[in-house]
Amino acid sequence: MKKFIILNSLIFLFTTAHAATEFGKKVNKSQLTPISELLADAKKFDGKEVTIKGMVTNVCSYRGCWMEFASDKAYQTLRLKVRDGDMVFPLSAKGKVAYATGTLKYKTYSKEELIAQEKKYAKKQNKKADLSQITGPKTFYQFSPSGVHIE
Amino acid sequence: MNKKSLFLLNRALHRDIGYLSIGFTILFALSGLALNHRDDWNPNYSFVHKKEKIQIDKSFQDNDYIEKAKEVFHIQEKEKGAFWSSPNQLKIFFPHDTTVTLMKDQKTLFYESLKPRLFLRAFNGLHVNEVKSYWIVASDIYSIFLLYLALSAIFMIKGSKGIKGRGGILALVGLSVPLFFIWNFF
Repeated sequence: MKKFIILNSLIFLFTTAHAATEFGKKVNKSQLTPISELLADAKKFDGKEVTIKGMVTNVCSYRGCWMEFASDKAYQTLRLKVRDGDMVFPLSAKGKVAYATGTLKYKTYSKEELIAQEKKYAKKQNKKADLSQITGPKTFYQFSPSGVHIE
Repeated sequence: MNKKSLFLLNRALHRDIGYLSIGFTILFALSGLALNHRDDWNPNYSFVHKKEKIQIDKSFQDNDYIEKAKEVFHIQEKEKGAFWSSPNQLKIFFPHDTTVTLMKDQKTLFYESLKPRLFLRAFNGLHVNEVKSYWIVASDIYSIFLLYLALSAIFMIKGSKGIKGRGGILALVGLSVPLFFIWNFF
């Protein structure tokens, strides 16, 4: 009985700690859209389901609720974000190539909105707001995946 | 079933469900504490950080930086990949959740390696329901057990230490804490 309980506990811990490589729906790898193309003309892809590919350059270390994909264009990345718990991306994904099928979301904030956000963030962090980088409106891009595959 | 039998049945159920809930309660309590303080620490992973100044030659290519990182931090494995996130910053990814970041302007390599915390990584994963599937059923049953334990506790003891005496006062004190926060924050 004792052995059974110990064995069960070990199986349980190992299976829960094992990093998954498939998340959500199956990824459609047949038609890939380069991230640079997606970001260059976001309106064209509005509401359309696309599949992207990239090296994972960063992962949320708290809840695994976001990852960043390196773009095919230098110095460009795209963040994939899911609702907390919907998919939990493993930190071991960093440096691996991954695919994601989903849609691009984007929102443009005015200069005033960005200033207000920076001030709010700085207050929360107990820091002085750095407004020097805010020179005009800015568009933020985020990819909402329905399926992810990490190689 | 008479009153006495019901009373005894309730006590027996309370006891046995209590035993069944020990494992779940330890899991949820420990992970609850860990997750509650995630602004102060990372409840899932422990990190090792190091940094080293390096000499940078103008002729250095990506591979030279990678070799330098391996030499400086004694990394034996082949890198998984590397990525320039800006003209100044190169991230090099190694197996075992190790990342070395080069900051060219500082001529410095930053090493970061992380390890999942023993038990807590799995406990936290279950607490926030990463597993889904049958875990949803299991944790639903545990929630029902907790409800039963709370409600059956009302009928556990008769007399001055029961719900009509000290037990009632303690129950009200316990109830007042969440009520206070609900009243003030929602």
